Amino acid sequence: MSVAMEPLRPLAMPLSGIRLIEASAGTGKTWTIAALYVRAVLGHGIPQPLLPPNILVVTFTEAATQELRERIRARLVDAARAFRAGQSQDPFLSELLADYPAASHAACARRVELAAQWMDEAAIFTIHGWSQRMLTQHAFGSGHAFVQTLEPDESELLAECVRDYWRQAFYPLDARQVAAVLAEWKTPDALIQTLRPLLFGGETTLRVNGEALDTTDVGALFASLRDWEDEDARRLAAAREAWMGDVERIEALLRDAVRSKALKNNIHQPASLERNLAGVRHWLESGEKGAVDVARYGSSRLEGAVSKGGARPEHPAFGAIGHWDEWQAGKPAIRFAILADAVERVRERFAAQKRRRAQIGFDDLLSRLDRALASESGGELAETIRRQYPLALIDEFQDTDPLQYRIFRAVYARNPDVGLLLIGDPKQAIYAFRGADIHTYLSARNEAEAPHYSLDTNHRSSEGMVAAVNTLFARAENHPGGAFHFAEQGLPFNRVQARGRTERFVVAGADQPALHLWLLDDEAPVGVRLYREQMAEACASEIVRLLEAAKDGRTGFAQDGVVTPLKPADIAVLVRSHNEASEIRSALSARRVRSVFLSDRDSVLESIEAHDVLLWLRAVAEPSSDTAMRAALATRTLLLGYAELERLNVDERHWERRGQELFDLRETWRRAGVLAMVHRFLHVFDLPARLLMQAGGERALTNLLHLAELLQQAASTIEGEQALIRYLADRIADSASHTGDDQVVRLESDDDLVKVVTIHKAKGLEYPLVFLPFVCASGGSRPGQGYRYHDGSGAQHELLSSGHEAAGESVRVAKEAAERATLQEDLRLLYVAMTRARHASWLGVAPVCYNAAKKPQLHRSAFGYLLSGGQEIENGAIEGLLRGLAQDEPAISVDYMPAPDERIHVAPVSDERPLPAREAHMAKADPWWIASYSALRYADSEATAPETATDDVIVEYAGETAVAPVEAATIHAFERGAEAGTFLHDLLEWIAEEGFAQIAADPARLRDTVARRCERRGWEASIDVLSEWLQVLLRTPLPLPEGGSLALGALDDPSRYRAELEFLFEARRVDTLALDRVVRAYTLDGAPRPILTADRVNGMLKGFIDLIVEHEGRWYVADYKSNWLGVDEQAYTPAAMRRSILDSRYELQYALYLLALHRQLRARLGDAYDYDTHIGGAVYIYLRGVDGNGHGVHVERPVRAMIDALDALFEGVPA
Amino acid sequence: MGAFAAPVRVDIEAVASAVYGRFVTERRAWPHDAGKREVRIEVDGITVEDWLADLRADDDGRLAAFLLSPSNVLDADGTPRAHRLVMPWVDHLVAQAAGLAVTTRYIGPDATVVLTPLAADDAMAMLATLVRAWRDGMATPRPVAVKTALAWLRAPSPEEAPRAARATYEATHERAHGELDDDPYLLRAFPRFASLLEAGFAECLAPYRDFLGALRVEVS
Repeated sequence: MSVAMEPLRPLAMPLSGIRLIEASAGTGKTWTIAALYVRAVLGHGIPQPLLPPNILVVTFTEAATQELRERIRARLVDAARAFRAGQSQDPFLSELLADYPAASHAACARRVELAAQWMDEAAIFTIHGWSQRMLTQHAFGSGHAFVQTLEPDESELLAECVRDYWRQAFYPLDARQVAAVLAEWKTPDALIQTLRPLLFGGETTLRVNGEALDTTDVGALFASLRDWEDEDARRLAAAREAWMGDVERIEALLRDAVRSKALKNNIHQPASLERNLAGVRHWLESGEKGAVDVARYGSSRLEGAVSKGGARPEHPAFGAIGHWDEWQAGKPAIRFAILADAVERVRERFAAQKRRRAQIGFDDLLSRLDRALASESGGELAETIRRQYPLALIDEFQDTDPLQYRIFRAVYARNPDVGLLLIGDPKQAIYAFRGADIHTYLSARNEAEAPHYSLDTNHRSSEGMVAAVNTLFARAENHPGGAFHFAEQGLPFNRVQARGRTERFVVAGADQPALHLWLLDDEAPVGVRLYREQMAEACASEIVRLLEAAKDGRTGFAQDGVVTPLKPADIAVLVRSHNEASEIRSALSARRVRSVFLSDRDSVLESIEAHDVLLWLRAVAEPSSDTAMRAALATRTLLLGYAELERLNVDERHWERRGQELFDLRETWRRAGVLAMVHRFLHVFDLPARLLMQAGGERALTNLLHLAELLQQAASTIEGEQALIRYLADRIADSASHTGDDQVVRLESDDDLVKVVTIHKAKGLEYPLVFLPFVCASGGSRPGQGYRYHDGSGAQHELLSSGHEAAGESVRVAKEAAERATLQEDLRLLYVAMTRARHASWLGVAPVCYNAAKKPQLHRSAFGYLLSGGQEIENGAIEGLLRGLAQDEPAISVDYMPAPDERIHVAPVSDERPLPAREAHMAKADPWWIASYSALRYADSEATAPETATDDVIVEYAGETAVAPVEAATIHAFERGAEAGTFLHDLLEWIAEEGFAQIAADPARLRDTVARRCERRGWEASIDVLSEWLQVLLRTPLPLPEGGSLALGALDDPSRYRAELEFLFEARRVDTLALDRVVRAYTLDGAPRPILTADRVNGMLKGFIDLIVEHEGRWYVADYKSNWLGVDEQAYTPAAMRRSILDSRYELQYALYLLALHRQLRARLGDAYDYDTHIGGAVYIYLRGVDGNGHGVHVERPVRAMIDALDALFEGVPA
Repeated sequence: MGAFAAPVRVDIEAVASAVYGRFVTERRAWPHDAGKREVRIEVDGITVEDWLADLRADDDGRLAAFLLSPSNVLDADGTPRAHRLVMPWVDHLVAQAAGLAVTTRYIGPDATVVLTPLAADDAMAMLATLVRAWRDGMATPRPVAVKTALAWLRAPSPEEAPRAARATYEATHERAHGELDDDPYLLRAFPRFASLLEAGFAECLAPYRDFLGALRVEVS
């Protein structure tokens, strides 16, 4: 470590160049990123302010991008508020404020607000998401196709490529070569298993015995194998011949040598001698070696078995066998040559196939961007990206790999005016299995500009917790490799400060130590299995003890004298494997503590529900199949019991009913899709309720719904029920080889549950209390296909041959290096695990051993390494080491593991009755609507106010039935009803527009129009009648309310009348009954008439007046009525019309019209206006009754008092 | 398939000729065609009727029924793959109970597994046990599985029996396959060995004990 590390001050840290920020666990990394983001938005310390789309933030997972986005948005909002207020309690913000003159605060606030609003388009991505965007956005620069399908699951395509390779490479071989291949891999699938890690291991050098794996000529190799085999056969035949020629003597020799113990009897056991000799004889006779190891009788191996003082039995046959045995070592290994060949060719083919399908996988996104940046046009692409994102913050940088870092370096290195901030914690690099490479981080660290920055205050944990972790790791820092087992302090541990927490964890009111070290036993080693069992039990017992104690309200988290009781959800148990998880979960469930397991590898397709859903689908797809139905009804998930099956046998109607249900479900499937069908299925069988009553029912239900969604998704690309069933069956059968986030089992419940979490999954999360019961079980390194390690220059992968354990020095070196890497990662994993707790954590310590050793092998685990630095720990020495820790730090307590007990947890009964419904106190706005005369009359607020004058007429005559004329001789026989009414109104409107006097003087034009309009309706017969009648109407002098008369045809000045006048005036909470009372009192002598329905008009009153006429200084409201009152004009007597007016409440209409006119004139004439002077009254013209004798006209002029009363009423003045 | 076919063919031929070789030898020992016999017995209220066909007889008139297996009848450790003989065992038992002292000979490429003749009374008693078990099984799921039962009975000591049976019944480690996994019925009724045991597995073993008692292996 050459570069100085200094505490990060968020305002002072430069935002250009390659900078490194190390953020230990819980030190507020996200907070810092948000703070730097605010600075970038403001342009603080950079040439110009940046907008969210121009600040690149890269993090590890999709979920993390969402969280970061929210956190940054919140921070921006805070900052905006601070700038608006001109002050802030937050030290960072107040310092930031101080850097800007008060005058610019408003501008800053605006800028930050805009950024906050723009966060939806902020450039916060996963590296894959970002690469994809770069490739498509800069398709010309990157040489990437515009449209590519991103295929997350490429296993099927890979399998195809391997099968193709198998056919191409192996089918042409002859029988002996094939036998050699089959000896290594029986099937293409076996070859895939071997190849997969080699193909997807990231940038790794494959090595065999230390040499980099290179492609060789496979053909030549097979030839040399053939030669070797021929020679092998020759030598074996010679040996057989030599032995066969002298069987008796050789057997005697061997029997003697064994009996006299000249040959060590532990190697050549007397008991098995005869069986071996029989085996050899069988070989001699048949040429088949069978199970017997002939080579043990080769001279050199006999030599090795000779006991002290004994003599080696001598015979040429032994020599011949030895001669053959020596030959074995030189067998050409075809395994690696084929692998090298296959890796290359499969990779090529895989890439070619993907190109052909325009398909890319996640890995390709990165490699293509990397290649694009390295290509000729790469410089321009890098320049474009730099312009787009002058500042990049790379989060979780410890989990990077060489490829990823190369991409960022290609864009940002050697460009001092742009910034690349690498933020991470090498102590938390735990994703080696996904290809993350801590060495990339370490080399990037060397390239980053000095100084490096670190966050040095833990904001997550209590002081005690921080102190305990500090002590544990700082002590281990004295080991030669440091706490993290890196040579030359490559990965140092630095103590962090604690900000502490405001609440304290208390049990029965008493403070607790932060770190509990539980020792299982110190006398003799314990097996892993026992360790797990015991610790799981103890841990579950302790959890029960704490939860039970929490019931009296004195165990939990104390703040300001108030204790918030401990809940199950406050507790997390961190594990490394499924086995550990199920161990602790069963211990918990035995004590009635409910728990939930969060893992990221369980596939829903491996669940029992998946199998059962498959049976359901089959039954629904084939509802007439009795077998399919029984299979479905018998599934465990459906939980119907055996009686159901018996009932199918004995109750035919029940059997039919079940069949019918399935038919219905199939209908649902076909109509609404599989998702709807599965949901329906669940409800038909009442499954949700029944499952939730079962233990594990939530899990089952969650899986079912998850499966339904997966099926629905699949169904969008698959045609037909059977195809979908087949798809599901395939996926279930093949779930192991598919990976994809979509099939990872979902969390079943948000309830108050103890969380069992894998450490990997817990990274970045925090829990109040954390149990680490299995911390001493080391992961151990399994060779599997070989050893992975890092030699300082790059990742290496030493391959192992299938059978030969014996290998050279380089394999040993590789093994050691791989084991070291595993331990290093285990240490980091332990660090992550230990830094999850806010208040307290419990560690299960035991002298764990594997394969029945006499000494504990604790030192191989990460925790053991912290204690001893990799030195073996003697029996009985653990306690001393632990006590040593506790001596230094009071927050650590050391104890023997408390004995597990059987107490069970009784969950407090929660009172879940609903509270009384809240009452609304909201001020209720008066309903506001536009009313009309029709709406009032029909007491029907549904009847909306008319939009046009025609609507108004239609509403009015809606009740009058349309009657076709008997004979068309007179107007009385003319059509009735709304259509006739609007027809007449339209004609009269047209006449008014054209000018009453003009039309009256031009009968031909009138007739022409009437004719055309009648023809349109098929009323040709009425043309003459109507034309003549209209002329009469125009000519006839109409009586006026207070004497005098007026013929419409005499209206020669269009400026003195107005047709179809629309009015709209305000109605303030008008009570219709009050309105009714006023109108009733002042019109038609108070005669009885229908009463209006009680209502309230608040809003506007709207209407259309047919005609307003000014005549001799007075204004009249005229309205045409096409009502049919009788067979001739004699029927239109004043009395009849009066009755019609009353029945229809037309007097209400003209009262309102007069009010409208009144208000209009008052507004226009001003003070000069006087009701009595200017208002002439209402003239209602019953069109059909008009004749020369004054028939057909109803007139009235209500007294001024009515208008005044109405005016006041509509003003909202109480009557 | 090119050369891939050759090893397959070699394997098939080897097995076929081995079975054939053993079959020819057996025929020599049982040289006479004994035709078919009708069996009809009453047991525990049930009538069993059938024909036993293709019987062989030796010079002394003893009867044998031949069954052929295209694959090995012994496991690698030499124990017979007895579960395959469970169905023939029923025929065998019925024949004995009907008074036909038939030897059932299951001939594979590696060995012949023999079901020896039984006294008619013993056979009748065993058959009655079997019928009762069958009746039980028709009424409620019977907590027993063939391979698991055989593993239990063949365990070297009674203490080891539960462990051996469990290992046969359910997968002991992640990639292993238990008898349970191949049988939806067991998966449904007794999803764990513990549930099988709890439901009375140990009481259902009598028919299997009888069966193993009559089992012999002839290697050469």
